[in-house]
Amino acid sequence: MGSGSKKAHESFSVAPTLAGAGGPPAHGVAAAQAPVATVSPADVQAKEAFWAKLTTVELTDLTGTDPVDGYVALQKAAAEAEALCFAATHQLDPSEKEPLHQALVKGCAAPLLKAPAPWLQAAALSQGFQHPTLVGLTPNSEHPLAFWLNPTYLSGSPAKAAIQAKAIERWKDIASGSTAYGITLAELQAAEEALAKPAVPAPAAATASPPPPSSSSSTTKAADAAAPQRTFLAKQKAVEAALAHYSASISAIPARRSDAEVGALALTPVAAPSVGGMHAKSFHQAPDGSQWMFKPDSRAKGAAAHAEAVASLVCSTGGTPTMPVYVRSMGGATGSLQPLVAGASPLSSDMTALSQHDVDAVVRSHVSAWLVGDHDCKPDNVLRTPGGGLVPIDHGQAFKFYGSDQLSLDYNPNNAHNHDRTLYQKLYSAHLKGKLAKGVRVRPEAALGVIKRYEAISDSEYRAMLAPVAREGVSQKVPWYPAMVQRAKATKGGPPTATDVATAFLDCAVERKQQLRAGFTAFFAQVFAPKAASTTQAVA
Amino acid sequence: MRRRCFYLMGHGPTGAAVRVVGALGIEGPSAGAQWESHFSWIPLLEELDMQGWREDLERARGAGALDEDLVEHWVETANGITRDITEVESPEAPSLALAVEALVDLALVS
Repeated sequence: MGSGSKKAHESFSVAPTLAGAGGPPAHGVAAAQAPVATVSPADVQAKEAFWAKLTTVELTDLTGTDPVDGYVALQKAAAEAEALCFAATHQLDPSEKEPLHQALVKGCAAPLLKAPAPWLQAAALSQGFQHPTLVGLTPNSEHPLAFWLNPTYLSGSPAKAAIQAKAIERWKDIASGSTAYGITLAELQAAEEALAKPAVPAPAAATASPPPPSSSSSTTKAADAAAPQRTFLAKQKAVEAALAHYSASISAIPARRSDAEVGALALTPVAAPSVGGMHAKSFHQAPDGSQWMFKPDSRAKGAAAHAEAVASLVCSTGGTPTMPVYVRSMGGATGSLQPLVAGASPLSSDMTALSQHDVDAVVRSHVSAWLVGDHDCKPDNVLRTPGGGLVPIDHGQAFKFYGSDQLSLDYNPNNAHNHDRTLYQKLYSAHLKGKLAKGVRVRPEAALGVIKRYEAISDSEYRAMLAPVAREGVSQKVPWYPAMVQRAKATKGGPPTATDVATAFLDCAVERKQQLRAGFTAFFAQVFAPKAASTTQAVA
Repeated sequence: MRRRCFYLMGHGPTGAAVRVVGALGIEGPSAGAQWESHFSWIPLLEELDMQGWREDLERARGAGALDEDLVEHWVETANGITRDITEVESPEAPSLALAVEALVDLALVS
């Protein structure tokens, strides 16, 4: 009993005895993978067979082979390695399988990455790839066809389909006369004919076709949501739906925390995206798992970050759902810090896709945007939450044009270099042109609740909220500074001090809050005047 | 004359704009202070994730305003959630278009 009958079930760690116990060979891609796992001798044997096969695949030299036959042989060897990988890993935990699967993928990629471009092109052509000469346009970088041909990647994967789609897109460009790629259609056709030694199978058109436009039923949905509400029950349902929409917006937003709490958050950097380049933003994770984005404000030395943070506070105080933004110093720079929301998507710029609740939410957020002087609200500065709500996200230009901006259908200080119109202007324009979904309209009364909430904030409280914007803005002479210097001069009758300029800014902000109702009354009169006129004409 | 290349990024599943949706290159200024530009998109992505970039680039190109100042403005103001832009080393290529397409090729296998 116990004299060795258990030997077949004996377990031991693979990692310390790699050399003779089924570990990876000491060269190539497999060498980096050293799974630490507890396995039986049978498993060790299976792993040995896998590593041996993978080494053979990895060391295959495709140069000089016939692309068609060579690729078929590679596929066969890869399939055998995959089968051995399965045999060696099927009883392991996913975390233990993963290194072996990665080794399999890299091992099968190795010979393809070393193959010359013409070989890859001919092999891809034999596998049904259309226009293989139109990807991998620059030498000395990883060839997309080496990825596309890797037998361990699924043939229908989106990444493979994207490579094929790009080649087709470039071919269409060339066929329509583009010279951007340095090759004419005739030259391309000649190159492809030279490449097409074997018969070319039917093209994989299904994987290359662009997907159908999304949200095709959005207009219908928007119209459905906007059906006339006449009965008491219908009105009640409309109120419930409006609350659900608001709740969908609010519930997606992480709760606002105190500045002290955010300042003390122990944030761990999260890996940057895989592409190269210098990222102005950095991503972090808090101990509770929440994800955060930090934007250093190097140009305005924190003044823009203060403006953005205060704008988000003002908006949420007014009842407009918005992402909380905080000022924080990280890595020696002051900037803005905000939580990220997974599962949301940018708002479509198609105004016909907006429901009545969406339109009401946009009107409400317009009140807040005007109060904080944010004229940069494009559709993609608004998130559609997973529950269908709307959340504005970027107040980076808050207060920028304070003192010289206007509440009007035409005012757009970003016209020269950013976008033609704000989301609000697009919405009102669509309303005026009858281009919202059927039954959906701009309802001025939607703005009233937000206006009332701002009116309820005392002037002194509002000054206190905006004090950091005034202080930092004067200190850094941000874009609104000259307008406030003029205002302070006019008030004082002489050269203003920094305090005078900051006071002028706060006076201007309080004035705007006090005139919010009158301002929007006049604005909506402007929005509805042309419509009223045309209606009158039609009736007459 | 200088050539500058950028990756354009759109909204991704993590809630940040870290998904490469396209590449942009500018080259100039020429003797007439003109800037040449070329941009190219990663195929088969959700249109909403690239909508903002597509609209802005096409509008700027249509207005003949796609120059270094505009691109630097975008670098400065991109919100990082629905859009971002990051400068990368320009690949060696005989033309601006081929440099941009090379960046797209690289993104296709990343």
